[in-house]
Amino acid sequence: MDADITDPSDWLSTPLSSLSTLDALLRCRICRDLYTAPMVTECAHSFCSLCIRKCIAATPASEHPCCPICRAAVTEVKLRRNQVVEEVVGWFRAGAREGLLSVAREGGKGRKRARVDDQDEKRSEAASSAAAEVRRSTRARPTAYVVSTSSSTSLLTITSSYQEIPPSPEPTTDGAYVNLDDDDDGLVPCPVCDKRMTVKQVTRHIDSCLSLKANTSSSSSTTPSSSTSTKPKTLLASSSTTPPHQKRLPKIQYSMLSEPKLRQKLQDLKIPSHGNKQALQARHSEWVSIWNANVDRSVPRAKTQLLRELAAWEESLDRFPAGSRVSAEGLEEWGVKHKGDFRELIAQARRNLPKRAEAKAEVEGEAELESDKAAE
Amino acid sequence: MSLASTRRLLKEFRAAQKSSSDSEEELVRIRPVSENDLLHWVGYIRGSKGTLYEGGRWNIDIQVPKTYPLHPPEIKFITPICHPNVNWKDGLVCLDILKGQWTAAWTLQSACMAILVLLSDPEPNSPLNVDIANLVRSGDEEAAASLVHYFTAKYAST
Repeated sequence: MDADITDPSDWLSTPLSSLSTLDALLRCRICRDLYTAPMVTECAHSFCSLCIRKCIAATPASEHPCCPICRAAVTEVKLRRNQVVEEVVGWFRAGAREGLLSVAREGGKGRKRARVDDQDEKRSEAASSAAAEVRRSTRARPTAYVVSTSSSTSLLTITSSYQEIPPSPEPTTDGAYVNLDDDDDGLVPCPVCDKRMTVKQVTRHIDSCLSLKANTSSSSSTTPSSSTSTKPKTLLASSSTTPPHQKRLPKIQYSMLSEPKLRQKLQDLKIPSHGNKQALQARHSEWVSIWNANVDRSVPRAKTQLLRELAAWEESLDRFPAGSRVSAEGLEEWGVKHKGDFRELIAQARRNLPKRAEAKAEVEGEAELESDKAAE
Repeated sequence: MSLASTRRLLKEFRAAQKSSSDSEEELVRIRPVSENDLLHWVGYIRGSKGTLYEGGRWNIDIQVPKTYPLHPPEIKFITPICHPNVNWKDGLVCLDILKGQWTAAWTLQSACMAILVLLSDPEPNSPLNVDIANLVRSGDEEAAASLVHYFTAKYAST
């Protein structure tokens, strides 16, 4: 797990140390990871959907939830997706970070070390040209393709995807992004029909392609109108193919519900429904956060995965008050210490057993439980 | 501890490792007691230059709740410190961000920085150490300074 823990400080030791700022900016201030389904608050701060939802859920009922950064009031229903940041992070995470970082590290090494052979020299040259390329591209000036024969393919994808910036990264079923420009042919796919062509051709082609599609699928209710025809494909897809069950769950005023009714709610959601009201409430609240955060993802995950997440959360709960953690030896010791009590309880249960069988007298509380155990 | 808490603490650990050089300049330095238990950290705070606490070094102890960062860590002084908002006996710090004003955007490092700032900017109207708070409140700066200097020299001089 340690390997995928990345940090903005990874850049500091490289010649591209200024990218540390970009790296830090693309991270949620709550989990310090690259954003997952970033949401923007009313005060214009962004957080991962799950992070901010959990924060809001953890706010005591007596207080109004506030933004973790500026403390302005936040309302969960007013959170909005931060599409641009999501796309940038998607690109960064999909390999641009790794690619840039390896190029940067290579460059750093090349400068310090005496150049051993030709190949090394070539590589470090490529690296420093990459650094220069990146620096140039921060000035928001489209750069020409770097068509180089060196091994730095990562450089190619970085510069080319900068210039073309796909309307939206193409999500795959497993939630990862595929870099559209993996092929070095310098072509981009049409967002509608996936046919590859040059950038100029796409702009001309896209209108005809859309109108063609509108004609052939006129029966579909989601025929793109002229106003939406410029939307990227993934937006169309997510609005038209969102299954009906991918709706956000409403929050519940738990104090208004009795325990059986709350349990019923959990059963209706098909999530575990054991435990007392407090446990039910905590579990439901966690599930609502997990579920709603999943809806915010451009590529939602399967429910089984969410259930695993819920189970992991449940596992991580501290069922014992702080400071009194029960270890295996502790339990044994406890058993020895209270042996007498246990014997007493068992004896009591045995006495109660025949009584109950005869008269079906009401045996209350713990004694009943104990007798059940004894009967087994 | 949940995965999210572990990941976040690991990141803080890494950041602390990278930023640290054991120089005199560093005012706050923290690390987990062991790599296997990220819920218990120790470290120290140095008094910043130009304040009453200049020249002192106080060890601190940080207990992190399993629900971190949704709930604040408990930070206390191990080395006795004479300050209006620090309990002399148990070292507990009275600081709003460690209580109700905590938000998940704070980190262990930034919380320690907040304590460092508290050293030079006490809030004598909500004291945990009434004796020094009274001196500060009554405006007897000389007495407060000499008391702080005395205890700094006695317990926290480096």
